[in-house]
Amino acid sequence: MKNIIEINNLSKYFILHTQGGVNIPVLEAVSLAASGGECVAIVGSSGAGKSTLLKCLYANYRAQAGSVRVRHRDGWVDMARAHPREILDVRRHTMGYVSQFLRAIPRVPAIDIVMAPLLATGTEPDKARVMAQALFERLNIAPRLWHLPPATFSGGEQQRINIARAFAPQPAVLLLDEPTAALDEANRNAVVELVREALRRGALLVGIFHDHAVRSAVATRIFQLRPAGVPL
Amino acid sequence: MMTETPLLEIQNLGYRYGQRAACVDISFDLFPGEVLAVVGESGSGKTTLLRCISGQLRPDTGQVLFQTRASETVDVWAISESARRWLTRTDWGFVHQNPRDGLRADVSAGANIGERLMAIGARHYGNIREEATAWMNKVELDTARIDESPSAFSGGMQQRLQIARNLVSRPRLVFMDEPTAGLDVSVQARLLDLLRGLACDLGLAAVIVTHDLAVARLLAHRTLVMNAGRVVEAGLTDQVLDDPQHPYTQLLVSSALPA
Repeated sequence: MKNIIEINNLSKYFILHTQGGVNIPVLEAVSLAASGGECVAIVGSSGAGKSTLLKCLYANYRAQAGSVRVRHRDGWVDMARAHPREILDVRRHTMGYVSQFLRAIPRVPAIDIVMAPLLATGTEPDKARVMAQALFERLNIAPRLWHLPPATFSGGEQQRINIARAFAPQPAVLLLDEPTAALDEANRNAVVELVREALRRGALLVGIFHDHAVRSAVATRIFQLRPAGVPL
Repeated sequence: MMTETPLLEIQNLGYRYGQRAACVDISFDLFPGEVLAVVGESGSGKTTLLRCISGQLRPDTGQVLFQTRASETVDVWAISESARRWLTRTDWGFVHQNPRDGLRADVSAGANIGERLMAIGARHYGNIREEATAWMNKVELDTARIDESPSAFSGGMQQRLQIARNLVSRPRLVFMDEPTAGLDVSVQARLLDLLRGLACDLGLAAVIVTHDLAVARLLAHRTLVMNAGRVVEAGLTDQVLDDPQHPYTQLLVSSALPA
């Protein structure tokens, strides 16, 4: 399979100007290439930069050095350097991200949150609704919640809305930051099934899975991160 | 889509109040359907910038280029006063912080919405009233109150009426100055949700000046951070808010309540 992402010598540090300019190195010359059909599990101790790596991939964080290339519309986009509009286009069409927490928008019902990325890529509203409902059923979201804004939902329910939203448009790349942290066993298994399905259709998944059972059920490769500044 | 031409191009814009520079060498562009937030504290020059780019205040230096419906690029401050006024009534909308600055108190709610339609040539009373009613619905105002004076409306309702009045002529670009400031939190949420929906559905481009980072996060694709008249940081909104680079942006983000 050909590569879908190519991270080359990525470095990321934070300079905290409000804390006297202290420099916190997080990623140092990280390289990773991966192709469709792979599920890469990022492992490493707390603070090793696992979430930071995902955020650099999604261009939520800026890279200080190196490149983060993603295959997009028959070409490559370097997420570390691309124009904001290009980054948004990659997020709309190529890359989904399941964050640890759902950022609830006031007054927007769960079903609209999940339908939004489908509508943004041109899916007919009726079809998008059916797709969203199918995901809700698989993730055991009770129908009485579908038309409510998720602000008052439990952590696990919000997390499943987040998962449904990211998986709905079937992007080529999915970034998962502890997608099952707040879920019970039945729902963990539902997520494992969704991940396997995405792999079968040729998607690339890069994720952080603290749950060993989930990790061994989905990962095709382990990618070890070490804290920056610590010798190999 | 990446080769599209910008709807609005600001080049090296500067404005001074006497000795004090309010805007220094500001350049950016805005593409169709894009929402841009300008954030910064009071006195950072963001409202002056908005007034300069929306045809209200002539900048000392620099250019404001706008692409019209006819795909012509016009230099906003080089065209005649009447051509500029025409632009502000047709292709542009302006939502003031205080709805009273954007509404006419001496005519009804319906007439406030209809006025812009009449300004662009609509004459059929029935059609204008029908359109005004439709817009009251869109901004979630009780259509039974179409003949009431705006002064009988609450602050949040007046703000929604001001938005309807602006959008009725289908502008392609809307300028907003602190559109949610001074509203109760619950009213703010409703207005933000409404703006988010309208911007999506109508493919509106907008420049929103706000001191509220949560407003920027919810509505804007891109964000400019202003400090002492300069743009100190610009980029994707979530990047600017989650990984701020400039000392001032870091201070701004770390001082705000979680957004």
